[in-house]
Amino acid sequence: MAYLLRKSLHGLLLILGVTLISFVLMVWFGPDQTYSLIGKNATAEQIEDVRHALGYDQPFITRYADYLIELFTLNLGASNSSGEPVNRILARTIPVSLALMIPGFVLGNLLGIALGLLAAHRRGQWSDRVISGLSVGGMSISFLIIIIVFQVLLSTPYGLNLFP
Amino acid sequence: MNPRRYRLAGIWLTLAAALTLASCDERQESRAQRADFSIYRHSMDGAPSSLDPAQASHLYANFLAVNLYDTLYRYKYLARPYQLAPNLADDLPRVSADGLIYTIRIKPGVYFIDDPAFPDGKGRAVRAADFVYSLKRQFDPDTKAQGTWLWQGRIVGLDEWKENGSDYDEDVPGLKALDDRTVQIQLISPFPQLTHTLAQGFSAIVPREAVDFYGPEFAIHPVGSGPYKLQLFNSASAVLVRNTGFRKEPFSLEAEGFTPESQSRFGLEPLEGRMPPFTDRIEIEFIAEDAARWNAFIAGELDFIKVPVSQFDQVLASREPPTLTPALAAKYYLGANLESGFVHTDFNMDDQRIGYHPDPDQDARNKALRCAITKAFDWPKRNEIFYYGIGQVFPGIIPPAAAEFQKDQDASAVTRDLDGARDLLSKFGWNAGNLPILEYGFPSHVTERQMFEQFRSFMSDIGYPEDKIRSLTYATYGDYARAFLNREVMLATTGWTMDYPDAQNTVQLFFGPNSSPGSNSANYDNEEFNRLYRASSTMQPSPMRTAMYRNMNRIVIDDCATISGISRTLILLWDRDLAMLPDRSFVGGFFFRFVDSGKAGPAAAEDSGREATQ
Repeated sequence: MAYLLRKSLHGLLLILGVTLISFVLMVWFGPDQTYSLIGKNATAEQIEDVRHALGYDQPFITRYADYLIELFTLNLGASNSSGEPVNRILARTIPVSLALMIPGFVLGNLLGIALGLLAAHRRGQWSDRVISGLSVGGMSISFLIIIIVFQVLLSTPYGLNLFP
Repeated sequence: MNPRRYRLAGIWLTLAAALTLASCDERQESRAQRADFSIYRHSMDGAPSSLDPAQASHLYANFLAVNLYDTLYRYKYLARPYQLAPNLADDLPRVSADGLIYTIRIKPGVYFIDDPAFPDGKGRAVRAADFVYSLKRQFDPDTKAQGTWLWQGRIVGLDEWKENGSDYDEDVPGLKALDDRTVQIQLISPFPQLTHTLAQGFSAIVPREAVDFYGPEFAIHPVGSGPYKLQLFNSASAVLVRNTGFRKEPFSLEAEGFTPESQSRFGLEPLEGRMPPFTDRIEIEFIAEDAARWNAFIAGELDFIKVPVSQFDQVLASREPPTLTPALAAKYYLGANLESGFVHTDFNMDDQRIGYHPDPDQDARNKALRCAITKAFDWPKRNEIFYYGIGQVFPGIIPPAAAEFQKDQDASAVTRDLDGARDLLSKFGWNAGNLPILEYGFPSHVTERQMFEQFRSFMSDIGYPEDKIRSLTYATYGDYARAFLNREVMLATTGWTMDYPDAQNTVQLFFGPNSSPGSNSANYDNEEFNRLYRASSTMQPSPMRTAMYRNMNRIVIDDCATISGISRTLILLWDRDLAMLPDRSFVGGFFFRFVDSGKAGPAAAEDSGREATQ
């Protein structure tokens, strides 16, 4: 029990440390939204209004405490520009990312395992050498190049133009 | 191959076929859908993040705001120079003899779109009180409005209303709805540009019910009375569909300022008498990346594009005037649209190393240094390298888009004079050893970096040591803006897009009291200039006012407060099947309602490649 408590305490301290560092980095080195949100010809008073609305005029400790509370209650606030709750934006957009990522992940792993087994089964033969050669080649080419090549091949009039 | 292997291969083939069919189905369905509607597919090189008119501070947001909402005024579709026209207002304002009281009647029978924000979901009539409410929102800190400056210090009681806590139930003496259809605005002092401000997206009319109902999400739930309503909006695209309840007003070529000599070839004549909006559905693609936008246009996925400068070489057969290559001219119309603004590089006059100095001798030396830098700047080369040589270079701060622009003015301020620059430096005791370090700020971007390098090479021609010209780079434009608005940047390049076609909008950039964080980022403060600005700011357009503006322009040039300027020529292409005249200037998004995508334009062959100069 004491071990469990000790580990939990360490975990909590670790999380607090990570959040503190990330928050400090965000506050001191992150973008200042104020000047993206003010209009042309803003007065000092209007700049102060925006800073106030963003909570930039609050003491650091208050901002950090708010940040922790919002983080632990999963209250991620609302988008500064559109006003839409961030949770809803995530709920809308994460499935799209997953829909793109999961098929690729599954397909890649299935293909990798199948080809790996085939190469092992035919070790030393030409099929092993072709698979190994293609694998090494594939791993050596930058993802950026692969993405562009497949985009051109599958999604443009220069290739198969299968996707919109 | 054994049966198990056949099964595996079958599964793979089925998966691949399903994937392919799914994509084909989607595309076929899309084509089928499109056959039922008239569609115009517009592209933009940036995206709005908010559709709240109070935040329509840039072109992209303004384009949508003026289509989803009504403004009291707009600019005539075809008239050049640009002219105001009533939009929701039934006529131009009635102005009192002293220029202080504006009375505006709004059209009857105009309704907001149906929306859950209203009782029973039925849109109600637009009333004068909605305009009053919408303008008050600009002064409510909770709105995070970006257009406040247009009316700040102008309307009786409005600034005080904000100071008193922005209570919407509290009346503003100078902003009244006399009845359901009559708005009255009382000014503190004459403001001849007021009507122009009522044609801005900022002044668009929103219903209080929707703002209260949606709260912060009103920014993505527009509820207006404009010609279109929103069907879809995200960071990649927006879809607008016709507001079937939009008021019926027949299109008149004459009323819109049609000029047959230059505009008859765009197939606009058959629109006469028809009721805008002419197109059922407008699909807007926000594609910031130039190559992607261009490829989508060439692939036929878009009907309109502002051509990236990187493509000018491929697109244009000639520069003066701009004409299209024959292959493109057969498919597209060309519009050469001089921007309604300019790019300029300001000296921070608040920086004693280059600007004002309490010691008169050093002050004179600083001025000589600024003038030498200005003389060493090679505008033709800047134009050639970054604007394909088709931008319009002009001296000073009144760009060609302003009615008060002087075509025949002395161009020596934008003519390179290396000997003159060296003489100035030498006469005032500047040499490589004592020249100050120049800090040139810009947001981190390849083009900005290239502009900095070019500037440094210009200066090296007058003996300015390269190691004394340093870059100050900022990760984002917001960071850059923060720096120059806090007077931390010695030399700052910025662009200004005019809000209305009146030079007051650009000369105010150098009015002393507008110094940072206001729009006078040069922190220029000249007594005579300020006097002229104050005197002219209440004057109606007249030859005397024009002379005063030009005088102010000369003062800024003589003080060498800025290296200015250039107005870029935008090359617009659109499909020949469309009857329209697009605009990125003052008409802006108002042209959407007049796009007719259901009709082919006249034969391409005879006028291929001629430009539509606006």
